[in-house]
Amino acid sequence: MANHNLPPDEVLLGELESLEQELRLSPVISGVAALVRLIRSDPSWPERLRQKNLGHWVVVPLHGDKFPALVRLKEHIEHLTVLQGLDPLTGLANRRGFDQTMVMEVERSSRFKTPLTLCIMDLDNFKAVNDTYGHPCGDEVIKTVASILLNEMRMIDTAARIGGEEFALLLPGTGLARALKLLQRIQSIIQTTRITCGDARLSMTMSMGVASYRGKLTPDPVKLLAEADKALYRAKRTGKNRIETSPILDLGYGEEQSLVHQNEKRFLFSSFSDPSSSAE
Amino acid sequence: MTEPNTTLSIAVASGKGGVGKTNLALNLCFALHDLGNSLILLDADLGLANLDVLLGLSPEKNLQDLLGDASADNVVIPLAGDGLVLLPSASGVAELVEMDEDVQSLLLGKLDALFRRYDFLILDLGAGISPTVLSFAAMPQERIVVITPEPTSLTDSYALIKVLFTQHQIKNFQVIVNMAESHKEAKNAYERLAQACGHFLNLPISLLGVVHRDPMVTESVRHQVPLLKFAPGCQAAQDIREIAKKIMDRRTRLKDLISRSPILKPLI
Repeated sequence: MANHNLPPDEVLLGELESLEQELRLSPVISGVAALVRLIRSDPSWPERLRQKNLGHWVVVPLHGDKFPALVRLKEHIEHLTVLQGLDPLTGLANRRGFDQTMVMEVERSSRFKTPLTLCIMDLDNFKAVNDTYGHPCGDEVIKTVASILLNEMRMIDTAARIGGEEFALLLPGTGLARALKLLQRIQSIIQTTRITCGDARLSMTMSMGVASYRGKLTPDPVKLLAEADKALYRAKRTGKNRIETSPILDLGYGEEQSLVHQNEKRFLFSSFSDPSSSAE
Repeated sequence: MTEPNTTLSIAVASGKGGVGKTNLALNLCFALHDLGNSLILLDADLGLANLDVLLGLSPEKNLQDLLGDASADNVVIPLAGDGLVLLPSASGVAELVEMDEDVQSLLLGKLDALFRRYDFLILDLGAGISPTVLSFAAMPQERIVVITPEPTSLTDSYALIKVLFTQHQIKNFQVIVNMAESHKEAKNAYERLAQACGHFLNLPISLLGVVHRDPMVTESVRHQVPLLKFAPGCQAAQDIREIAKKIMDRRTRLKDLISRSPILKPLI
C-alpha cells in the first residue's frame, strides 16, 4: 500500500526543480501554463487532451515513478480527504464518514425518540455507461447525481457515496411517509436530468431501498442497513427505477400500551353478561 | 421553596365523555366551598369551555395571559366570592402541555403562587386519553376518575387508568360512580373496574363515592345554575356533599404528604 508519510522537503524541492526544467525545455511552453493534477491522475490524459485539441497543455505524470515525492504528496492529500470522511470525487461523505454519522444519528434517534430513515440507492445500468462512454463519463454521472442529492436534501441530512455507484441518504427526524416524498422527488429529478458527456447526453435512473424507525425502539444500525439493502435488492429485481420500502422496523411498538386488550375488555364486560352478578 | 404547601390538587378525569364529569367537578367545588374551603377551579377541558357554558360565563382572559403581564386577579373569575374562583384556560391548556420546559416552568411558577392561596385546586380535564389529557392528569397530587355503570364507560376509564399507570407511573386513583340507578348497580360497576385494575395491573384503586341519577341535574344545567344552588336537597346534591366531606377529611389526613408535594408536578 501507499506510504502516506509526507516526502522530505529537499526531495520535493528537487522534483519541483526538475519539473521546472522540463517545462522550460518544452517547445510548447512560452509562458503558457502547466496542468498539474495533484488530486487524480490518469494515464489516458495526454491522449484525451490531444483529442480535444488541448495538446499544448503539459501533463505531469503522477502515475509513474518520475515524480515519486509529488506522487506521495498527492496520495497524502487523498488519504487526508478519506480520513475526513469525504469521497474525493463527489464531496459527499464516504463509507467511513457515513458510518460515523450513522452512529451519531442512531444515538440521537434513540435518545430523543425521533424517527430515522435510511435510503440506499444504486444507479441503474451504470456499468453500461462506463463500458460505452468511458470512465470519465461515469465520473460525470456520479458527480451529477451527487450534486442532485446535495441540492435536494435538507441541511441536517447526510448523503454518502458508499460504493462505486451506490449512495446512501440518512434522514434524521424523518419517518417513512415524509422520506418517501423527498426520495420520489430525487428519483424524478435524476430521471429527467440530461448529463452531458462529450457528444452524449445521458439519462439515468436510480433504484432505492428504504428502511425506517419511528423512534419507538432504539435503532439497530446493522439491521437498518440490512433492511434498506434488502429493499434495494427488491427494487432492482422488480424492474429498477423504483423505490422499495422495508416494513417499518418498530411498527408494532408504542401503541399497544394505550389499548385495552381483548381479555381485559371481556373481563370488564363479563359482569354485564353474567346474571349472577348483575341480577337483583 | 417558601412556605410548606397546603393546597391539595385534584384532577377530575373520565375515560369517556358524557358521564357528567364537568358538572360533578363544579358541584364538588361548591360543596367544598360550603364546607368552608377555598378553591380554584381550572378549566383544563381543551377550550371546549364546558364550565363557561354551565355557568353562563364568557371569560375575557385565560391562563395563557398569565405569561404576559396580566395579574392573576385579572384572570380568575369569582364564582362565589374570593373563596371559589375559576381560572379559564380556553385553548391555552393544550399549548401548556406542548410548551418547552422553560416556558412551562415559568408558567407553573406563576400558577403556583396563585394556587397557593387556595385550599384546593380542582382541574376539570377533558374526556379521553389524548396526550394533553394524560399530561394534565399526571400533574396534580390526586386523581378522581368519574365513571357511569355503562360498560363503555368502564372500558374507557380502565384505559385511562392503565395508560396513566403504565406511562406516567401514576398509582393513586379514586373513583366516583355517577348517574347510578342504585347503589348496588354502582357498586357492581366499581368492583368490576377495581378487579380489572387488580388483576391486570396489580393496581389497587378506591371508591370515593356514588352519585345517583337525578332529574334535577339536567334541570340545573338547563338553568345554568349549579345543582347545589338549584336543588340543594335533591339526592344527587346530598351524594355530592357526602363526597365533598370525604375529600375535605382527606386533605386534613394527608397534610404532611401535601406539604411535601408540588401542587402541579412539571411534566418533564
